[in-house]
Amino acid sequence: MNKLTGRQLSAMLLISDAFALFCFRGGMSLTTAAGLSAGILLQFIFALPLALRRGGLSSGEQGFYAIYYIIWGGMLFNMQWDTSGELYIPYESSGGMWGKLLISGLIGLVCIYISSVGIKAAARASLIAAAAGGVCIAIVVFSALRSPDWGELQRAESGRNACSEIQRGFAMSGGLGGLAVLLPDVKGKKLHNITGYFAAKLVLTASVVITTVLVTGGISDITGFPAVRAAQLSQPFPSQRIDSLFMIVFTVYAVFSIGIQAASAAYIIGDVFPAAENYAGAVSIVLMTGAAFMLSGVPLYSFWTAALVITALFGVPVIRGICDKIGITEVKDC
Amino acid sequence: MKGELISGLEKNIEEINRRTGGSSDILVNRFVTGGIHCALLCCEGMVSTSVIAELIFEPLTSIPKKKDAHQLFHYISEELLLSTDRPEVTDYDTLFSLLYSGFAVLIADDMPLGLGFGVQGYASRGIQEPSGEGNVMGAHEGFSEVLNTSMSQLRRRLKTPELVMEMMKKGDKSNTELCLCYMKDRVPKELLRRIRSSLNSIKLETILTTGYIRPFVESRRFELFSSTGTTERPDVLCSKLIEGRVGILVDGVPFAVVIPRLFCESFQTLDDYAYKPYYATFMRWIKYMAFLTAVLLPAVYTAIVMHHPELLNSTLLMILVESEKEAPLSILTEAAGVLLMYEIIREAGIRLPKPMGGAVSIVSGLIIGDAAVKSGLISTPLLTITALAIMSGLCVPELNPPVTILRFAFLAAGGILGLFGISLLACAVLVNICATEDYGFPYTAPLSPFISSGMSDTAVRSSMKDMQERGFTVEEYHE
Repeated sequence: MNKLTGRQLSAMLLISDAFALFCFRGGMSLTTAAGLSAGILLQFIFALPLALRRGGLSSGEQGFYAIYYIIWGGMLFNMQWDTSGELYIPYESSGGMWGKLLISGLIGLVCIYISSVGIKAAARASLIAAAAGGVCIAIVVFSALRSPDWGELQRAESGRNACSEIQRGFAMSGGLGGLAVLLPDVKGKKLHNITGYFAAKLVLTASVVITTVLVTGGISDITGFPAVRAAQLSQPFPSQRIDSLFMIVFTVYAVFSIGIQAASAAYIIGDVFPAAENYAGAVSIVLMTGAAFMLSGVPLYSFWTAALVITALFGVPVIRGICDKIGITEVKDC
Repeated sequence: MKGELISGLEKNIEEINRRTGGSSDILVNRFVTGGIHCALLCCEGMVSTSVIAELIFEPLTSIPKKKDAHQLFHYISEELLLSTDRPEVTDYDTLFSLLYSGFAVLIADDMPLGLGFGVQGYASRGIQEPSGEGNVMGAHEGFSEVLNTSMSQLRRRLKTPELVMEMMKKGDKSNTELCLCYMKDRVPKELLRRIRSSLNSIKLETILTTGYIRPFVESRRFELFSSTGTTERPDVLCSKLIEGRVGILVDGVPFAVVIPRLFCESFQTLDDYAYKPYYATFMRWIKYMAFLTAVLLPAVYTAIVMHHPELLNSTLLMILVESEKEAPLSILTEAAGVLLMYEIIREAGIRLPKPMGGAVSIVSGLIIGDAAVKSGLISTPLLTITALAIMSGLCVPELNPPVTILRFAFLAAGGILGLFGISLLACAVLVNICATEDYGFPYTAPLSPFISSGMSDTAVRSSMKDMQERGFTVEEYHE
């Protein structure tokens, strides 16, 4: 594959992170902001071995990351399924089962298309989508911060300690698997790219969480999705509402988050089974849908999800490094 | 017979008649000069009769007696110098190719060879102002249908040996001449090699427009936007060549194909470089907004009014409610109907005979437009919105085909699924645009992949001094 740029990789990962933030469930407080920020610093440290890695993925790594993408894609489908009930689409039973199926089905169709055109096109589109979405998020954030009630910072309760929030931060950072897979294909200095991405992620997470805490404050723990509720409560104009603006960002980010996982999985599947290259995108989406069914009801912010992310980000590259040292790695360039 | 000319004059003429089926546009002028029986062949309408009479026949008929045909041909070729182009003809394929390109060919008895003379003089449209690429401050001449004239228009602007124009013939039946133009010091070698290879894969019988060759130099993947461009302006093509792009001129077509083409170039005109940078930048952003307006405005209006009225402030909402409550059709149907009607009128305007243009204006403007609003079939705000979208589309004429289709697609998505539908379709379209790439040049460069130096002629139009220092070539965008 021709090289991706650092900005494109960062955009792909940030879209996934932003979508996970939109689908954030449970209370938010300053502890959440601190925990998630500390988690990002830890993630940065865990990602450092990736900067030293040379060469492409081995067969074993390809197998692991293909399964990882399918699992994380399934989780994203579940997040989208849960959150879509909060969004209005003009369908007579949009809040019900059929409405959710319609939303998921349409998103799935677009994701199949994204995965069929390849990771490079998805990366280019992500950069534009991330920039446009960033502007929309900035509008929502600024409209929320026009007349902040700082007292909400004290009133907000997440009911979790900092360690638990760090775990939650890892569990919702499934996109980091993409960092391990795609970083070898990125132009420029790897450390520079990694640092840029995590800095942007820190700014994004902190601004969204603090804005959400300021807007929802004391009711954040009783709203299903505090980030969505914060967008609905913060309006820049007195005589009109901009909820739909947030819905556009949500839809675009949902499509790209899932589409990128599918495209990445298809990228690996197509490499392992060249004969299946043309169908790899559709196969990935079908497998992700299956994974979503199997994982429905599984708590997203569990220890096991966090452990899976750490394994993808840190465990596998370290094992690969040890194998390289011993000299038993069979590298297959993607 | 292997297709080579034979020695006997009559046998040659018989063979020519047999091959052409006695086509009446092949003229055979028999005469005797230098004591040798000869014939001058030409194609009626392709040659200048006055040039033939003055510069060919007059000297030919006054040749002193020669020993044989070989001596006669040597004399004509080496001493008379009847024209600047004097190709030798050894076979019938070359002979017909030259005849149909406006050459006169001399054949003689006992001579298995012919001599061609470039005396082209076919009727053609002169150099005129381009009809589709308007310009205020620049030159007002466009390419012509005659390839040689178009080539000379380029040469007049780029008087450097670095400009290379390679001729080739394509089309088994049409034998159309193509001219590959590039600056040999600027063009990426790999791009040139791959374009040549793409052109070599053309096995068409005829090439009548640039549309015949464009699919061969574009990606096979479904692309909404074309990754090759066309221009009818020699000055625009020169500016592209200077940037390392490749141009293809086609004989009989007053347009050149430009490879590669980027999305941002559709918003650039030569006038941008004639005005002050601040004004050019302003106009460029107007065109970006016009493009978005052309594609999205009817869809967003329909989606908001039908499904998301909370986005409107109360005053605007009341105005729209008041005007829409009288309309009998749904807003989606109304909007689709108005857009469809416009497309029909536009197509009729292009195809119909010119004297009927006034009638179409009356029918479309007065009868359909005015009567439809007055009768309450169409609401005034909707008509205003669609008119605005259509006018906006005209700001970027090159993108009109995809804009037209996308306008309908977004309208359907917005009318049925609201902003959710528009967002979904926007994602698919964005990915499609980003997947558009030919010969390794992404269509969306310099936006994605983001190349900050490219922004100086995309987001803004920086000064000529800055651009001179930058020395841009398209290779910067290669991935």
